[in-house]
Amino acid sequence: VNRPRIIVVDDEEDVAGYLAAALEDEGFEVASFTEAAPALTALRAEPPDLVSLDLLMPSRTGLWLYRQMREEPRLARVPVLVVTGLGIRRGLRSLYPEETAPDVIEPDAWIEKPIDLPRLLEAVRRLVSVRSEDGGR
Amino acid sequence: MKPEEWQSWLGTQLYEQVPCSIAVLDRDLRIVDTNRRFVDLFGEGRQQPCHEVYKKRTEPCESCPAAKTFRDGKARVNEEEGIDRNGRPTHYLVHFFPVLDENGKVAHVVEMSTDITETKRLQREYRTLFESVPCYVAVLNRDLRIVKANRHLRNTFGEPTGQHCYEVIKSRPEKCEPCPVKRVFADGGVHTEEMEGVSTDGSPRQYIVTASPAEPGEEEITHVIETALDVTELRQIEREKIAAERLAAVGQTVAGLAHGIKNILTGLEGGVYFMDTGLKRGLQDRVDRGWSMLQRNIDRISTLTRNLLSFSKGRELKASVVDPARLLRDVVELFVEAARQDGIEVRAEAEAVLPASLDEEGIHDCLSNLVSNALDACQLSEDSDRHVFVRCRDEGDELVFEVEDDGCGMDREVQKLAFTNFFTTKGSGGTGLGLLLTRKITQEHGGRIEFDSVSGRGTNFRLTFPRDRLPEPATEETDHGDGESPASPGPQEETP
Repeated sequence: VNRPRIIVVDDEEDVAGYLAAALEDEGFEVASFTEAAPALTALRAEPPDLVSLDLLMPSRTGLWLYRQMREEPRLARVPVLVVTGLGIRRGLRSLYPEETAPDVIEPDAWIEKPIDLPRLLEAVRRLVSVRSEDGGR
Repeated sequence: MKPEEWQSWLGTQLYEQVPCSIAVLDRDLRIVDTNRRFVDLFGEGRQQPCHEVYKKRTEPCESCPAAKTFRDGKARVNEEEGIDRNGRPTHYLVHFFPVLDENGKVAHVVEMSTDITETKRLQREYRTLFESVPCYVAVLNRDLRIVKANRHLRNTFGEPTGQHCYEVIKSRPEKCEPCPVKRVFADGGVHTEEMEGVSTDGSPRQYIVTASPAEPGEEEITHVIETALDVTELRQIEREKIAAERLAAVGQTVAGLAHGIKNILTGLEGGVYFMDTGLKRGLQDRVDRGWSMLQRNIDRISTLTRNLLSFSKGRELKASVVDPARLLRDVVELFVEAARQDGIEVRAEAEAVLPASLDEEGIHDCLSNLVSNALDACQLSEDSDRHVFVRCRDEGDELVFEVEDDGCGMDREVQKLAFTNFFTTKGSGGTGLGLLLTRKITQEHGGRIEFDSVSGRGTNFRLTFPRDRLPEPATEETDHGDGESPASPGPQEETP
């Protein structure tokens, strides 16, 4: 049976490990990364059914990975679940002086840390099922 | 040319060639003859009273110098104001001298007038400038006494002529040190100092004082022009702006701090998850993993809290005169060996620089933070040949420290967040305080921190300290006795 594949990107090893274990326990196939650039290489090699994405990471941020994905036809429709310590409503803007705030991104779902695991799993299942109805990979 | 020839030339031509207007008056003060220049300036005037031609007056002038020369036979010079043939006011300098008849009586008076209208205009402009500039202007002699002061200075301090400049502007009994005016007398250059003074009501004022020779180019300087611009309000606005920016930064700091705490909480949550599922399923590996995650994240929150407290508390600078290059080498030594084991070369490139008054511990922390960040950036680089260069040099009147790496660099978002916030991108490796602390210490030294970074290529951080803004060295070592450790998170915990 083909299990839905999820790529987890979070620079905190503990968080990436936790998400990977919790999702594997739910029957998903998971690959986790602590940096954005190698995650993009893996995404290109085989587009997954979902990306769980942290935003603030060293060197390359989650924003960068998100924008890369949306520009590439094979990755543009892969659902992105943002899992971040930033507030949902103000997001990155809360961290910036007004004039330097980045463009707002529109992920398919936004989960704030600390994680409410049942809510996260519900969002993952919803996005993956939409993805499979949409034609899958 | 024979003597008779040039004497004849002088007799016939000089009258027309001299660069001034000449009129010859009879005893009735009527003009009997003029040269060409006179006609050009005042119009045809023969047989008319001179006051009509020069001044368009119907009556003779009071105290007429020509009349005096007719009376006493003496030559004289006078400055006169008149109206030219086009109706424009004219200033001219007039030499009056008598022409005697065979009996030795004054038969005629010759008036030679030089047009000084342009000179008078320039004098007026100079006077207006001197009087109206919105700063204090004084001309000082070698005793530092004021020989001339402009209106702004007179209005603020009263008539200061004859008094010492330091008595007037600073209400002090002795000369200032350093004194830019004395330096001008010594070397003839132009010197500027920012100085503190006292207003007439006793409140402190800040001045930018510029002193320059009154007559540049002269071998001996007899007078110096001193201008003092009151920048008290400007400095106040600068302080208010900094305070407002700090307040705005507090909001971002809290948001950044919340971000860091949420990540730690998620780590704790993960630990609980591994423990819980491990215990339920009897998987010891999971239990162990969960346990170490809990320990690690509890440690992190303790460190964060401790550092946050010492950061907010701060510490007083303890400046002393040190060799910046030696300080730099001390920092590099701390990292060289550990970095080599990770395949990274850390190299000190310290030029011989002038000693500087620095808080050694504070600057040590700043450089350690930057080097530690640079090493983290190198760890993230895919390149195997990685370096960190730590440099210092004098650039004009500024002391510059530089930490350059060829590590992973920062992308646009991380660059923007580098200082404005309290966040870390280092996962469990940072508390998000290092760069903030580095900036704080740098600013306390009157310096600034800047960086260039290219994602994938490396980062270059610079700490620039204008030497005239460095803290004064503490007179003696004082023990604050509170037993507090310095507000440093140490070299292992910092932002990007």
